[in-house]
Order: sequence, then structure tokens, then C-alpha cells
Amino acid sequence: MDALLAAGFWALVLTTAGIYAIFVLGLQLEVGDAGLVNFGHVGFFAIGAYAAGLMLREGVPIPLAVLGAVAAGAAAGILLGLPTLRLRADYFAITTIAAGEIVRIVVENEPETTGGTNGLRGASGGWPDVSRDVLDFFSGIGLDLDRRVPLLALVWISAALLVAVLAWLGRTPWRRALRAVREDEDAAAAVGKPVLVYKLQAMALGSGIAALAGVYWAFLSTTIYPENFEPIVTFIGFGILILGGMGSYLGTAIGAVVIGFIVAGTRFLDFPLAADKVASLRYVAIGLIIMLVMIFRPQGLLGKKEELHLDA
Amino acid sequence: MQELVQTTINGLSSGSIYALGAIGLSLVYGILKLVNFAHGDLMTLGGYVAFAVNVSAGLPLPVAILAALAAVAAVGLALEAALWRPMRRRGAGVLQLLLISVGLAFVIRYLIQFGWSGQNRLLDVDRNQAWHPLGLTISAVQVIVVVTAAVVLTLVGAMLKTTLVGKSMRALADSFDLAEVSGVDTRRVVAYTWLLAGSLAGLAGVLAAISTSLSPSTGWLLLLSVFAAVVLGGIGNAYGALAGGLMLGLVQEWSTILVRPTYKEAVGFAVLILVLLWRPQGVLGHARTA
Repeated sequence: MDALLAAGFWALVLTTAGIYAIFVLGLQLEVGDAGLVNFGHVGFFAIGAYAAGLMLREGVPIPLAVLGAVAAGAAAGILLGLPTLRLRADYFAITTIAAGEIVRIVVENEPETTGGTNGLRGASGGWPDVSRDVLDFFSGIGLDLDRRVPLLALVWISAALLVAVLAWLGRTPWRRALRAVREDEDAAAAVGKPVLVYKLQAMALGSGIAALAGVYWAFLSTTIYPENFEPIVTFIGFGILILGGMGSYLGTAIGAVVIGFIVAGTRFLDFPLAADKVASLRYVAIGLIIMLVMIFRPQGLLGKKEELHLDA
Repeated sequence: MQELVQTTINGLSSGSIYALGAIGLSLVYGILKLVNFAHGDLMTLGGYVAFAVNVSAGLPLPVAILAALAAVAAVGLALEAALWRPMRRRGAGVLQLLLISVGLAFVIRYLIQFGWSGQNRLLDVDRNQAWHPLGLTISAVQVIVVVTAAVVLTLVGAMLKTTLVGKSMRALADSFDLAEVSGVDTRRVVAYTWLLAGSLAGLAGVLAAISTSLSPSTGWLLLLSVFAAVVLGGIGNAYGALAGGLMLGLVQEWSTILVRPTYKEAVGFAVLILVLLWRPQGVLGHARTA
């Protein structure tokens, strides 16, 4: 693997990690702040990817398609939240995982619209042209970048902006109320906080963020498949969340890079094993990380103990 | 009419596999407050143990089934001793245990894939043998699944209802502390619970492998439906899990009369969400456990 190829490869790994980071920031808001254990997060990732892909194929301008996809994700979050947020945490977790699967199964079974298992082609729409323009601009000023760099930059700038927004929200009464709801629903209700409304807002925001990650996934992959949206994605997200720590946005970013490296980056290393054996061990490693962190340091690498809310 | 009978037969077949998985999952959930996401992968493990005995070693199917039961029950007990009991003693919360089980599920599934590769495996049963009474199709595989499940589920139901261990299990699932102060030997009952949950999971895995094929994700794919059965029946309620499993299997197969068969899992999940709208504690669950 020569240096140039390696640079492109690492750009790809870091882009994947960045998309995971955005995905998990949504999860951080729902699980970390609001205490909603949403196991159907991948469903909103899928909705974002397919909503953007379908609009971009029809020639909708990119900013409009991004906004539309995020809005679709947020609306779906409210739609799922309305019937399920009244459930106990464990019932909620299982119901949301089922909802995520419904999204995937529908996508798989409507090939006339979504391409079904053959995938939705051209889901990145005009993004490759934009990306090329950016590269041309930089080579015009004497900077030759890898073709993957524009998306890499876009993803991580978005992640950084999101962190800034979430950190700002963290200082507002809104997030304090959200945490009050998480800590003690009855007490929050007793002091007049509309508990369900706060939870719905958290679901909408978290799902919208997952949809944004989905849009970038469509940009990255160009063709998107239902199999990209299996429940395992949510659990990889939980792995990142747990590793980084509840309540820590910086931890989320670090967790995303570490887990992204294990999922995508270890392809770079030469193991004396068949490829499918290595693929298996990669997920054994993720499983062990989740287990060990959860057993020995349940607050994660950068999480705070007082942020931990694990009694569902 | 004929279609209805046919889908009912198919539904009983898949529903009994859900029920076998759901009883153990629900009891473990109710008694130990462990939402065990590794339960599906224990089922897969049962399938592969049966594969090793039945195909690799060439022994008859009943031997393979018994081996799978014993192996998965042993793994269940070992995990209780090495992982779950120490974690409970450290005061781990529900979500903490749940997420550990998610990690464990990954570890089991991908170790299976590491060992047996990802390709589909078939057990040594005659898949083509079938009878056609009254224009229906009843395959030998369905007969094996339904008869085995019916016998085992009846035995388990009787065990839970009449034996001291069974009653203790249900008492613990209802209220661990109350059962403990009433003098129930909780540690012993917990061990029996894992024995039961593990062997039923192993059996469910073998029957799933017989009725379709076996891959490392077999149990994981079943797990969602099994969870749905548990939730439908009310968490911790063993009879509820049994009824929930059969109900879910039937609804999924009946739905194929109206919508494309590939939608049947989605239909099952939609039913789950609708039922919870109507009864947030499950069909047979108690409101007070909320």
C-alpha cells in the first residue's frame, strides 16, 4: 500500500468515524441527557440517508435536500416518540429496536422507490461535483488534496458545529430541565415541567442529528443499501457512546475514532488470517470493549460518574 | 379457508420457536432484571452444537438436540457464575447489565462466526418430505418442530405450575425480595432458571436450524421476535411469553394472506407497538410492575 493510497484510506476511515461521531451525538442527547435508551437510532440514520438520496436524485439542491432529510428524521422521531415515550425504559428500548427494523424492512421491500436490496444508486446527487469543484479550487492555489478530503472536512466541521450547539444547549435551562426529567420524572412533572414535551424534543433533535449522519453516509457511499442500516449500527453507536462516556461530547468524538478504527481501519493491518476470520475478530473486539468498559468503567473514558444513569 | 389453515400451521411452527426462546428470556428478565441481548446468540450456539454433533460427528438428531440443550445450559450457568452474579453483587443497574449483554452477544456471535465461518449450514434432516392432506402442505420439519415444542412447552408449563422450583421461579419473577424473605433459596432457583433458560434457548436454536438453515446471525434475527413475544406477554410472565410467542408466530403468518411475506416480521413489530399503545404493560403483564 503506497503512501498516497494510504492517505486516501485514512481519509475514508476518518470520514466514517466522523459520520459515527455525528450519529452518536444524537444518541448522546437522547441517552446521555434525556435518559431515553433508543435502540432504533439506526432507523433515523436510514431515513436521513434515503430521504436525502431520493431528493438528490430528483435534482433537489443539496442544502434543501439536507434540510429536508433532517426534518424528515426529526418528524419520524416525534412520530415514534408519541406512542412509545410513555413506556417503561426496557419496553421503550425493545419497541424502538423494532421500529428501526420496520424502517429497514420497508426500504428492502419497496424496490420501485428505494431500489430494495440492489441499493439506491446516485444517492449522493450533485455532491461529487461540489467535491470536485472544491478540489479544483485548492489545486488552483497549489494544494493537491485527496479526493476524499472535502467530505472528511464537511463531516468533521459539522460534528464540531454540533458539539458547539450541544455545548451551548448544555448551559441553557432546556438541558437542565431535560436532565431533571431524566433524573426524576415525577419530581420534574411536579414542578410543572411538561415531561412528555421535553422527551419529544429530545427525540426530535436526536433523530434529526442521526438523519444528518445518514445524509453524509449517502454522500460517502453514493449507492446505499438496506443492509447498511441493520441494528448492529445502533449497537456500534452504543459502543462509541459507552467508550467515550455519557455526557462527554469530546469523549464521543474520541470513541468514534477508536471504534471507527476497529471497524474500518484494521483492514489496513496485515493479519496472518483469512479475511472473514479477521472480520469476526473485529466485532469480537467491539463486543469485548463494550463489556469491559461497562464492567470496569461504566461512565466511559471521559464520562462523569454523576452523569451516569444506568438504573433504567 | 385453506389458506387460513395453512398459515395457522406455519404460524404454530415459527411461534413455538419464539415461545421456547421467550420463556427463558422472560424468566431471566423477571428474576434477575437482566434484559439479555445475548439470548439469541445462545440459541445460535445451540444450533451449532447440534450441527457439530449431527453433521460433523454424524450422530442422530435426537442426540444432537440433547447435546445442544446440555451445552447451552452449561454456558448459561457458567456465565451466571463468572459474569452476572458478580455484576449483581457490585450493584450493577438494569441498563448496565443490558449493555454488557449486548457486548456479550457480539462476542458469542462472532466467535461462532470465527469458528464455523459465516456460511449457511444445514442439519441432517429430510427437508423435502411432506404430506398433503386436503391440499395442505405439512412438512416433516414442521411436524418435528411443533411436536417437540408442544411436548417441551407442556412439560415446562406443568413444571412451573406444580413443582416447588417452578413456583419459586414465578415467585422470584414477581418479587425477588418478597420471595427471598419468604425463605426461597434464591441462589438455587436462579441456577435452575439458567438451566431452564439455557436448555430452552438451545432447543429453540436447533429447531430454528432445522426449520430453515443455520448461520451465525440466526439467533440474533430471531431475538427481536422473541423479545416482542416477551413484551407482548408481559415481562417476567412465563405463561405470557408462551402465549406471546405463539400469538406472534400466528399473526406474522396470517399477515402473509394480506401483504407480501417479506413484510411479516415488520407486521409482527407493528403489532407489538400497537399492543403496547393499548396495554403498556403487555397483554398478560401486571400494571403494578411498572
